[in-house]
Amino acid sequence: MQTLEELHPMTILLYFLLITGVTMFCANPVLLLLSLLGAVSYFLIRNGKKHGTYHLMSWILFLILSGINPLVSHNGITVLFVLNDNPVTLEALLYGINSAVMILAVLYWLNSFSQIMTSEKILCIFGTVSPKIALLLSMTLRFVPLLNRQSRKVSDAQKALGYYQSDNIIDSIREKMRVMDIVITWALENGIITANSMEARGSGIGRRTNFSVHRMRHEDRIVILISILLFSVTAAAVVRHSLDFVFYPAISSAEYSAWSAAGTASYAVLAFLPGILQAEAALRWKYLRSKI
Amino acid sequence: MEILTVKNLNFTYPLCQDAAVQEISFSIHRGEFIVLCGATGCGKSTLLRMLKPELTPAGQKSGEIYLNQKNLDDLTAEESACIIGYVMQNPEQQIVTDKVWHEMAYGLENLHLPQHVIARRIAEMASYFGIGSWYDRSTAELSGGQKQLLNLAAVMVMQPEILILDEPTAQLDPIAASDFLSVIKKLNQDFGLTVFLTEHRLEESIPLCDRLMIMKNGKILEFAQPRQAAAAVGQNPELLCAMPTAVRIFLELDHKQQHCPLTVREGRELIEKNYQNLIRQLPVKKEQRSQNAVLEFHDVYFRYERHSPDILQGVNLTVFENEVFCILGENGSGKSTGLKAAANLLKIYSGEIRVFGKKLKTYKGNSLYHNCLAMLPQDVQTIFLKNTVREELEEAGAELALLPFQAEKLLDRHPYDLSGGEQQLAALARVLAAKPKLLLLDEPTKGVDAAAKQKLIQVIRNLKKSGMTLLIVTHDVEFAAECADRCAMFFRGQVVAVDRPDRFFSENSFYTTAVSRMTRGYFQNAVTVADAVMLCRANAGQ
Repeated sequence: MQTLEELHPMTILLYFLLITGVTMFCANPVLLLLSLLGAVSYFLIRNGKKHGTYHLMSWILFLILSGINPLVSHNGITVLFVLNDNPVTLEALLYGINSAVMILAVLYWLNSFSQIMTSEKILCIFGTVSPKIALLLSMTLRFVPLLNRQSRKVSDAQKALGYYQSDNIIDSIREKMRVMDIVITWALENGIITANSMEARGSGIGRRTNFSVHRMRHEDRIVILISILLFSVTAAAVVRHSLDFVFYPAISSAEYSAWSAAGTASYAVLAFLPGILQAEAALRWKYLRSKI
Repeated sequence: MEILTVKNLNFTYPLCQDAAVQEISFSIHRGEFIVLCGATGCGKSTLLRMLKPELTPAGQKSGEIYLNQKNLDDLTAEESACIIGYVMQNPEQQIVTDKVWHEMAYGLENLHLPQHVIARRIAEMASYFGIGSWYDRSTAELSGGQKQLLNLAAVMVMQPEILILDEPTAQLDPIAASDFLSVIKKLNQDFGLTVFLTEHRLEESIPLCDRLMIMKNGKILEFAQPRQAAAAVGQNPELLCAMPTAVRIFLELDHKQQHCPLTVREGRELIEKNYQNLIRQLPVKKEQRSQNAVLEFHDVYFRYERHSPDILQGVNLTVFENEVFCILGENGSGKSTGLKAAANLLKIYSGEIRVFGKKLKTYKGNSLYHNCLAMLPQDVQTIFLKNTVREELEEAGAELALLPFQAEKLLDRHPYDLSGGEQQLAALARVLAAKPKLLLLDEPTKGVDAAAKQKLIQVIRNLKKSGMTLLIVTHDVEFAAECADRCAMFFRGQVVAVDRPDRFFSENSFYTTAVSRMTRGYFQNAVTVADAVMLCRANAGQ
């Protein structure tokens, strides 16, 4: 089995849609906690000790988010204490923590997603929808760094002509504007060459293929199938109200049932699926190496 | 069998009176390698563009072009896109997409071929061109030579029958250019691919070709075997200066009755057969060098980022007043970086740079750039901000009368519309407005044709006469040999050799001029065509 990031972009996209979809639309604290654990563990497996500041900022955000709700919402029947004539309730506090767990989980998932989804994977996804949009995106991706580099070169050249004093703000704004102006002219002038080169290679003859280096493989089908299956069980449990959880006015949850157990278990597997794939790959290598 | 036949082709651009291309008739056989040469503006590019329907400019056209006995106008869009491959001059701007593999797939995607066909063709071509190792890279990260190779590969996946190249190596350094040409020759020999190539750099391409076409003022002057065609150039200075060194020596010495040599080896045979070497060396000119240092580098270190390797690793260099100092060296050896450091565009992290004896740091504000130092960057287009050269020069306060060359012809044109050589001159005029005493030039001969290069050499000599000091970074050994007072070799961020050009080039065995390689061991310290011709004449007079 491949790790999640080695699979087809469509598989990756589907997985992240399913996992974050449940996280965002279901307020069950057990599911959210599972989601957060899955997200954080996957992030840690991929990045190890790196991105320390990201973790720190996330957990500070977590504290702020969980603290704000009890200060502004005074619903709930269990009053903990009174602050400035306003009751601070246990239910509001728990609701705040629950929401913070949700936001943090989604942030961690999205961060992993943006690390995995390189520009060419995004292009591959767009390409299956519209080859033209994919081409446009690809050209833009080439063009932006090109434009940046050119404006830096122009700016250097102008500086060496002695035009602008580096310690004068108005001068430097004027310089930026002039550089921008000429870089746009440059882009249009040189765009003609690109257009010629496109035309010379048969641009606009008819329909385009979208060539992609990614192929849907057996592993992709398995992961897609498993993800959809797990998701369906959880979704069915949610639709049947077996995973309902209410904070206001008093905390109450749906009664324990086979459905709620199946839904939670499925979601647990779904949340740890990327981690499991990664661990499996690591183990397999270890096993292979011991055989060598 | 003929693959391409052109009959009585005429073409006039709109709003122009003179035809850009006049009464052109020729035919090319399948598998031939044709080189087309001529001065800038002689109609080379126009002719090539007429052969590719997608790129044919708008204007008045008459005459017929047949490809495989079929009129070019009757080709379908697919046929035209596939059969005629076209590679242009600028490596960067021809690239369409962001990834190498996507760029290779681009043409095939347009043809709506199925995925597996595209995958196979790309795989084949990437292996053939050795692109495999940078297949996944971004196109922006590639070097100029790699970019141009990618452009070629992206055309070759479409399996063209004729490959048209419009000055493909003009923007490349000599090593990348010669690699590129050898790939073209290999394609020609391995696949019988018909090649139609124009070039500034004829030194290496003429020996490769089967026939040489020479154009002048929109007409074909000569189209024959390279020896015959080159010999027919005669004393036409515009065309002569672009010819390979051996041809130039041959024509200067006027050996009508013999075969025209094309390569260094043949040139050597010509000299050794016809001339003795009783006089081995030209009288050495007495050096009168000022001892005033204008620019000094003391143990200069530079790197772009904290964890990146050093680009400059302890550079020590002194440029004296009123000399022309050329820095040569391979790509990435730190030449241009050193120049930027001297112009205070990069901050060095260790060492010291002094300009006119004063530390670079002590120049406050813009004072370094007024009446002191000026720099002409590698990409001279970055100098221009206005719509005409006139506006550009007026803004800078340039005095036309003081320029070391005629700039009147350029004044009313848009800077981007000028040819490479003209752009270089216009930018130079702009930079000279600040009345610098030290001028830094970064590869001034890039994209400049042979005639314009001669003019540039003249301009540099005039500037030197007016008392200016010039520091020039260049790849062009012939150029450095012509105009330098001293040359330095950069290697891995250090200066490894500094010497007078005659000694510098005669001691180098690879990084040296064609004349030096041709006369090595026979004459001493001959590095330019003029040196060789003078020595030959002197020996003939004995």
